[in-house]
Formats: sequence, structure tokens, C-alpha cells
Amino acid sequence: MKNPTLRRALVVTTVVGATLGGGIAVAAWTSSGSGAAGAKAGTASAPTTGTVDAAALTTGLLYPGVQGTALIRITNPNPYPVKVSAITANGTATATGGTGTCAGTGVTWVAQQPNSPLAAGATATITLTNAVSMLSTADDGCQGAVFSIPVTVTVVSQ
Amino acid sequence: MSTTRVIFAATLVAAAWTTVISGLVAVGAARAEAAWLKTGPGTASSAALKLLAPGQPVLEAAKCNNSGDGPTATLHWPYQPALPPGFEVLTSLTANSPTNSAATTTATSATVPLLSTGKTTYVSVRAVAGAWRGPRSPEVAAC
Repeated sequence: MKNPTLRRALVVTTVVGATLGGGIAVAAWTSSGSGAAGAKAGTASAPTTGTVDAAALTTGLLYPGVQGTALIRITNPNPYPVKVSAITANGTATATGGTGTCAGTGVTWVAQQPNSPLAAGATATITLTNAVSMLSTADDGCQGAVFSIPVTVTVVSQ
Repeated sequence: MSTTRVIFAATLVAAAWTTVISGLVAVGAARAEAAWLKTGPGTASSAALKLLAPGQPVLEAAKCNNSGDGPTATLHWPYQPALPPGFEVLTSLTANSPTNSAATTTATSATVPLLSTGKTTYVSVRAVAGAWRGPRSPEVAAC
């Protein structure tokens, strides 16, 4: 290159560009986290549920032909907040405490998408209205019964 | 440094940055897909209504010889817990043997037809919810 000024400008531009670019690269990688997504996926644990005393319910009680309220107590064992995205049926209900014979098949679970947030390591009781449906043919002996309904709980990381 | 060398160096730098930017985009996409779903079994709970026996009906008024519309009685009754979906009023000419469903209502009072002019009609009430029927209340004699 004959023109020294132009040559210097090109060299300086190249060096400065590379330096600034390197700085940006470091900043970008730092801000994106150090593989946190991979770590979350690797340590994810399934949510668990605990016992809830549905006998304490005073509203949303079931009787033939209506939908009632359900309670579920969910624990997020992960060190990350999650959202309860879905609760679906996972078997036949069992009934206790009724006034007589009561088949668990008299009630069915209605799929729920509560989208309830759950902090890291937290446990919360979620009230779900219209989550359980009782058939119009439900046994008369189901009066006053408490139903335990198997479900599958799905959580998604937030 | 020749112009060719400078251009070559600049091209190398540009290529390097293209690679870096592509990598950042790929990492970003990977992070977006890394939000995980996790499922687990659990148990939910629900409870059913229990129908109780209403208190003994109170006779407010009785028309025992009503030649026009027939004999009637107006009654009300207590119900201790939260109201059930409805009540059924039962009548009979024989004590403790209800034979007729005289009325259904969501209230705790009703006017019902009596079964015979000049004869005692026994009236009782029970709570109803769908196909369920609760225990009967004690009876009250009308006329």
C-alpha cells in the first residue's frame, strides 16, 4: 500500500474492531448465563402432592349432575419457580365417609390448566372450581363422602 | 503491510465474528427450548353434599274445607346448614307413611294441596339434590 495514511487507518480499524468485538463477545456470553438452562433440565424433579382435608369444604360440594370444587396440595421440589400448567385424570376416584355404598366411578375429573405459580421449594394448596363432575346416577350413599381422585400434575419451569 | 494482507486480515475478523454471532443465536435458541415440563402423580380431593333432615314443618295456615281450589296448607320449616338445592314436600292421609310428592321448592316454605277435605293430612319435608333424597322431617298434621 503506497498511501501510509490509508494503511494506518486500515490497520487501526482492524485492530480496534477486533478488540471491541472481543469485548462484546465476552459481555454477551456472560449475560447469557453459564449454562443454566442445561443445569435446570438436568436436575428437574417431578412435583409431589400432599393430603388435603376436603371435608372442610363448604362450597362447591358435589351432588348428582353438578360439578364441584377440588383441592390439591402441590410441592415444587425444584430450586426454581414453576407454573402448574395442567392437572389431568389418572385413574378412578375412591370415596370414604359416605352414608352408604359409594362407587368412585360416580365422579370424574375435569382437566384443569390452573397456570398457578409455585415458588422454588414451595408448597401450596390450589382450589379448583368445577374440577370434578358427579354423574346424575351417583350412588345415594355418596352423600357426605370425600373423594380422593388420582391425577397427573404437570409443571413447567418459569 | 500490503493492502492484500490488510484485506485478508479484515476478512478473517469478519468470518470470526460471523461464527460468534451464529453461536450466540444458537445458544439463545437452545435456552428457549430448555424450559422443561415435568409431570408427577398426585391426588386431588373433593367432597359431596350431605342432605340432612329439615326441622318439623310449622303450619302457618290451613284451609281445610276450601270448596273452590280444594284444601291447602301453608307451611315453613327450618334447615340448619347451608340450603340444599331444593326441598320436597310430602303428604299422606296416614301418619309416617308419605305417599304423595305435593311440591318441590328451593325455599323453606310452601303452600301445598291437602289430600282430602275434612280429613287430616300429614305433611313432612325432605331435602333433595339431583337424584338424592335426604331423610324426612318429622310430620305435622294439617286439619
